[in-house]
Amino acid sequence: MRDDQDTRYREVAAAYGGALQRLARAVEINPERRLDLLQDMHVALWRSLAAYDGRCAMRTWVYRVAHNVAATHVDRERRTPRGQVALNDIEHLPDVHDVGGDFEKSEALERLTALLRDLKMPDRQIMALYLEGLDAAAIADVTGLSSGAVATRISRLKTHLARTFRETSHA
Amino acid sequence: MSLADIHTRAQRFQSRIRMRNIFEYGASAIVIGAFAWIGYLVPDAVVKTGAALVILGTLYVCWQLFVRARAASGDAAARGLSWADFHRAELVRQRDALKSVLTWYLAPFAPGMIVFALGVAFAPMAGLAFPAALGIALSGLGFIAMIFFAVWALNQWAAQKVQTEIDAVDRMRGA
Repeated sequence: MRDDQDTRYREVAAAYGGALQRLARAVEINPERRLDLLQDMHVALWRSLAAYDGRCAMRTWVYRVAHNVAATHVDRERRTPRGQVALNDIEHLPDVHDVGGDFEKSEALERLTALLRDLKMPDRQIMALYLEGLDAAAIADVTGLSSGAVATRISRLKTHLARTFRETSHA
Repeated sequence: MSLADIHTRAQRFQSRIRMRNIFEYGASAIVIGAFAWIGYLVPDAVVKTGAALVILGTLYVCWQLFVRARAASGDAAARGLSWADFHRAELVRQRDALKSVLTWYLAPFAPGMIVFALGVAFAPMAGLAFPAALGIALSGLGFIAMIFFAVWALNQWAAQKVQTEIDAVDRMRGA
């Protein structure tokens, strides 16, 4: 039984490990707490696979579990306000050698991730899933909202993000 | 993260829940110990009864905490529910606990606290005249009532805030 669970977990972790990392990045700025969150996601995923009964696609299941762990994390963090960003965050600033196109790309990605972190739930989840390439129907499966509601929110969020992105660029 | 790490962390998760429960029961054990000691030391039967009732009330609250902690074990995220179902269930659990605080948290202590306060005020060993004893009893009961009311009102206010969040989730689902 546990062997099945372990095998399934290995497959799922190989397929969605990157997506979980990106989700953790969109949720938590502090590297230590981010790592903690990522590990929580993996543990919840492993535990959940004991109960996976195929009621939805594996991809939907994985995103549901990971996003619910993320939502719990956000809720907990909201109730325990933290101080400044830790010194460790400095390592995540662009490297001095990271110039030109790489720099712009990584800077743009950092800013987009920061904008995502400013969004409330479930908007943050919807945008994170959208950026993973899921369509409105798949996002609706993960979040439990209607496809129509998801599509409307995506459209509004894209406008909001584009405007904020431009404003911060000019600033 | 290796599978061995996952297994270890999953076990640690269970230990963390156990430790949280032990901490809550530890606080209750202190209350029980203190009232058991008072009940043993004070010869007055009314005070003894009051102390025994407080202990019974604490045990009931402990059981309620156990039942409610099990429901909020943190494992809910691993049940594969959609965000809306998961979040709503969590909010409903919180709202119900806050809303019913009178029945599961305050009321169990009330009989013991009332009998105990009366017992202390009217105990023959206190040697107080009836009006003075009555004054002490009434101010003690008034103080207890005030604390109970404040706890109840704060919880109702918090439950109302949670209900607003539930309504927002329902609106999103219905949209």
